[in-house]
Amino acid sequence: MTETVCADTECSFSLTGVCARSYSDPEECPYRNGTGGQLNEKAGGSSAGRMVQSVGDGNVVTTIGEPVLSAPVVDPSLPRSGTLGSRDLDLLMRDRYVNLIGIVGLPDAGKTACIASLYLLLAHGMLDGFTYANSKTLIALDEISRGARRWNNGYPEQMTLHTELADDRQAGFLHLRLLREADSKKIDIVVPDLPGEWSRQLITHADSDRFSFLGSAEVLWVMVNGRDFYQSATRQAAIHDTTNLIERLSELLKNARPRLILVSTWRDISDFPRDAFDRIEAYAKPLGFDVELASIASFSENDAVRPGIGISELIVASLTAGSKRENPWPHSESLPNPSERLYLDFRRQA
Amino acid sequence: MRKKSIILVGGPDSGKTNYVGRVWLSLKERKSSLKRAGMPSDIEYIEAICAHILKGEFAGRTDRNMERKDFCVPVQFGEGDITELVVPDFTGELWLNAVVNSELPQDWLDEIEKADSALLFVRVLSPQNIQPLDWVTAREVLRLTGNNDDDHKLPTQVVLCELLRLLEDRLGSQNPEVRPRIAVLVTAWDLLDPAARAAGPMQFLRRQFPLFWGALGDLVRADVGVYGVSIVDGDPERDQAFKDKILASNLADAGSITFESTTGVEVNHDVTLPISWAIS
Repeated sequence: MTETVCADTECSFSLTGVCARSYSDPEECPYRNGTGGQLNEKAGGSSAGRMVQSVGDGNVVTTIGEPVLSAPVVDPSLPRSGTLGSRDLDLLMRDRYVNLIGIVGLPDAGKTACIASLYLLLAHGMLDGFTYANSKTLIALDEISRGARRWNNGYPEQMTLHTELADDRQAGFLHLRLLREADSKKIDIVVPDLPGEWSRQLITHADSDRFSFLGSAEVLWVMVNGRDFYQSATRQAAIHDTTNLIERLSELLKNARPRLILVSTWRDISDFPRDAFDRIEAYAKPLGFDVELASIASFSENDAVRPGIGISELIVASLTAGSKRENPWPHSESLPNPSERLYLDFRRQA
Repeated sequence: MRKKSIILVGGPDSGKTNYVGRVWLSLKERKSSLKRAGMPSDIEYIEAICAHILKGEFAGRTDRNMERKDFCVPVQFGEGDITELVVPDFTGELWLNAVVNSELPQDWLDEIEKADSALLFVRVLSPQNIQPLDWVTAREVLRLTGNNDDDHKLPTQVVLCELLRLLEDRLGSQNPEVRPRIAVLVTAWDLLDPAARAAGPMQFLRRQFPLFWGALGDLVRADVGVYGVSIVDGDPERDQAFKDKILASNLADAGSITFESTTGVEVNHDVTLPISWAIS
């Protein structure tokens, strides 16, 4: 079966059977079979709908069904230094020693703001004791810090955007290699940038699958919004939420007990209240956590408080191993009988 | 004849074209340690740049519609082999695009992989440098100045870090047994005050672009050399007396390179020094 199609784009012969050039017999129309044979036949079936328009000398100029324009040249794309997925993180950890810092906290606790502040301090050489050495996620870090450059006719209400992940089942990680000035040692840290809803889900539904990476974390930062602890109206609820989160973490981590630092933001408004910390500490103790406190101000509206205060100390605290373990090689003078064989005896003493 | 290729990398207005023009003047007058071995066959492009410099002006930005220009010149190190030095140049937008949109045309990617070394350019006090203020490190200034036009653009030091990462990943990868070299050229070096110049280019980068400075120190797969470059040691476009002075002398004698050696910060008047280091 063939379908007659006219080369004149205005002609609707194939639909109406009427020649636009008013030829009673379409066969006479020059567009149908004139010198150039400009009317074409679209053959069905085996020729797969291809239609060829020819000119006088018979050369094929267009093949209908093929693209009208040539495909644009696509430049090869370069790997972008965006957030790392868990597979990239595995590769990185295989390559070198990486300190994974597990950051958890409810929405609005200031998790992203803290990372943005850390990055901006490094970007201006203003982080005490550390300088920037490298990052596999530099573009991602710059993107999250962009809000802190905005001038909304004054100090903006919100410095960083609410974190949303493209893949809601997998955490995105940010990497920083720091040079510690004290001993010129390079230290790799990796932090997750997670939406606070994940922590909320962890509390309400014990939804812990997405947090499986916390098993490899050396230190946990439980981020809390310091303003909630400062105001008495919200303090009780804030303590309640925080202790819930710590209890969920203790279940999630099974027997592992990484160090846990309670990171309170908004230090520019007030210091973290002592009694609130005591309650959290007492709650976490039986769960096996020795909670430490770090109070930071990622940004600051208060002229007396420098923005980024406490972040350098927080990094130092996170990198020092919390060694409260028994000394395996005690000094001989402290032992009752120095002539005994210390090595063999050690387990019995411990 | 062996070929050595040096690729020029840097954003718009970073001084790539003017540097190549000035290098040609030194090579032509045989004023440098790097010696040319004969006359290049095509000098139309390079002469067009030199025409500006010889009038006491800087060549304007490279036309982005222009085709890629390769400056090829046969050179000789000491009594060694004659090598053809190929220096492809193109508008800085290409490199900016490589970072901002993570895209680079295939022929340039091939060029990087084939190249023996690279010159990475950053210009002192360029109006194209982006160093946005933020609420953590410049709260007081931001409060005073208010408007922060560059808040959505990638800071120059991030662009430099990403270009460095691209070079470390790809530069000379077709020839893996040779360790590639990256010379960082801090151009318009004469714009700095004497104290900053005396501290050397590495200190300048540390103060101005801490991320880039850190990344240079963390480079594993390539060697890096940092040079403060001034092609005529002044700005003839703004200083008429200086312009008269350099036009009265031989322009191939003007200019200097500042670099750090084991003995401290050194100044040398051979502007081809970074190229000699990069391909030696």
